[in-house]
Amino acid sequence: MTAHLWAHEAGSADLSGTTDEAENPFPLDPAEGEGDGEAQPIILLEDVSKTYATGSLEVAALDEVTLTIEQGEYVAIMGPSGSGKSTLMHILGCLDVPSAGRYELAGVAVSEMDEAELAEVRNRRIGFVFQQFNLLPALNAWRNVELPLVYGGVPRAERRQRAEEALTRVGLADRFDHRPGELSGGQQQRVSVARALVTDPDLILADEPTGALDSVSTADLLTLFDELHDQGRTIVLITHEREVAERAHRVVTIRDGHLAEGHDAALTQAAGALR
Amino acid sequence: MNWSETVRTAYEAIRTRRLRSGLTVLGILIGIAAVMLTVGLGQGAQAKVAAQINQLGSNLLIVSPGSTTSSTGVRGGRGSATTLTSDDAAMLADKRVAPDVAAVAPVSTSSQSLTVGTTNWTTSVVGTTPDWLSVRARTMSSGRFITQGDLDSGTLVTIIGATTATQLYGGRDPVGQSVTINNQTFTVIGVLASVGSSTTSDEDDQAIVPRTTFATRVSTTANSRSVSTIYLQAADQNSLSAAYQEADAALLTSHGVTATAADFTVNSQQSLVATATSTAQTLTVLLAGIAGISLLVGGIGVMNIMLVSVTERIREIGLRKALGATPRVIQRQFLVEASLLGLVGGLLGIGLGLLGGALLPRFLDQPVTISPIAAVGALAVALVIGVAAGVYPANRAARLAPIDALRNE
Repeated sequence: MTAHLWAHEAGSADLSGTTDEAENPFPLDPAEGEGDGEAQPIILLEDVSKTYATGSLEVAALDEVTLTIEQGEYVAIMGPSGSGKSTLMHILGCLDVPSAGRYELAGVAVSEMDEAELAEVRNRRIGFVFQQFNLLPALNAWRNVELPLVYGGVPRAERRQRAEEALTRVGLADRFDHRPGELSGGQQQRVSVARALVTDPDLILADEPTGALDSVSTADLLTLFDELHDQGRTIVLITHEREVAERAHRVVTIRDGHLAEGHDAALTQAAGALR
Repeated sequence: MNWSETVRTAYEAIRTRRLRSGLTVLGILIGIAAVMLTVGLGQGAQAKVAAQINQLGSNLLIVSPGSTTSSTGVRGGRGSATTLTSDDAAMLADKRVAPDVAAVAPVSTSSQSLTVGTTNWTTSVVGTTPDWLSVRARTMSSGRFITQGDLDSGTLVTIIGATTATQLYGGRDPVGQSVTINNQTFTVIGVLASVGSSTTSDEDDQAIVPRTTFATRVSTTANSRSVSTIYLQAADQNSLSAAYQEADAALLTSHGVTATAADFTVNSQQSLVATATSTAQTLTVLLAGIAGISLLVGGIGVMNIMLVSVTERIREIGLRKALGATPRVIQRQFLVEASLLGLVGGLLGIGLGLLGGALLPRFLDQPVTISPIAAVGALAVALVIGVAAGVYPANRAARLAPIDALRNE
């Protein structure tokens, strides 16, 4: 899971060129920079809104949200259902585009991209971990893990090697050829974490990753996330479970389409500081 | 994602849903095999008819008398009149009148009972000239055919067909034996080689006698000079048209009639073939149309199954998109999947078609001609159907938004 694995994509300068740690002449949020002007934030949301049209009524799922997440942060986004949590996750994951505002992922403005470009960003920069694992039942573990590499155009031999490395990393070295049906829920979720890691993404985006797991598997997974974070990975975790969120180093709460730093209790005082 | 990966993914998707894919393929398979076999049967029937007509002889023109109208106004069918005579035949044999006519064989026919000892057999006795053998493209299996000498002196000789020989003489050699026709004793001087039966008459069951002998000893009609048909043979394929014109003009002149009132008709072998095959063709088109509809239904089956597949795999499509599959890649995957179903169905259909083509003639007594072009065409059609049936489902899959697809949680 090192940078050399992406050496083959040197040609796609349109995306990777801007990720160099170039000086940002206009730091959008100097307060968040903490004096470290060199490092570019992984996520930069600026006044992002998302409205859905239901009939003639327009519903704002996100209302001018601004959020910065730095390289190496471990952030939990909390909120009750209907809070705009999923919408935020979709926009962060480039699965949807904002109605208004600006979104930069690792310095690349993704808010103006078309569908094919977004697909490439998802493929190369984001590793998804879903609540329901979303593994393909017909494929064994390593074939599931290699999927993002297939769409990334990586040669087959290299794909297998990297998939096996990723599976070894999540502790499934002896489960390469098992199909999802032959694995426990916790193991399946670890396969999906391996799938998220295999492209060496800038961001790991986990949407309720413990939602379908028992407490032992939940603890295992959170330990795995801790380890990944210790290795310098940026993790954004969306959850409604307080104990899960508390493992993160920073908690952001969303309610009615508005963001606040900290837990619910701190919502009011943190809201002012954030906006 | 390159093509080999796409094909692999499509193949895996098909294999995962074995039963359903198999049933879908079955629809295409049956359609392709049905089209191949019906067209093959039709072409086989055409070839059979054409072969039967060609069996009459090559470069052949057939002159038949016109119809009669009795004093009471009852009209007979074509060939019922006795307007053709041996004089017409003699005139057409004249190189100055019809230079492109190579051989002339006037034919008179009468149904007679042939008796050998206590055995008798009723067959058609044909009075003709030595040219008959070449004009009708027949060969002798033993003995000789009638000669000009037989014709000139009206000898009591006969040449019999293979069936007639078996019926009258059993296993014995008929050549040199005698046979009684119309109370006259004839000598069998030859046996015709067998050509098999056509649908209209048994060419192996007849007795040939010199025309002069027929006129004086066998004929039952009042006008002994009249003949029922005159067969003309053109020198070659190219002079067939000229021979037709010459014969037609000469007969019109000698009969003193205009073309509209002609008391005879001249048919070429080609026109007979054309008439017969056009009937077979109509039937083929009809059958192929019905088979084509079954192929269309097979295609709709592919489309249906692909649409179900897209609906069923919304989550999978969403996941693949989330992992970086572009709409184009998704579209391609479903298109390839549909084409693979079409291709497999087409290949198996060709297999079944070839098998049917080999087995069917044994049960139907009907030739089946399956051309390679038909097989390749069927495969192309199957592929086109697969692709066409895949376009709509593939576009639907490609348009799915990843969030909508992943949302079923």
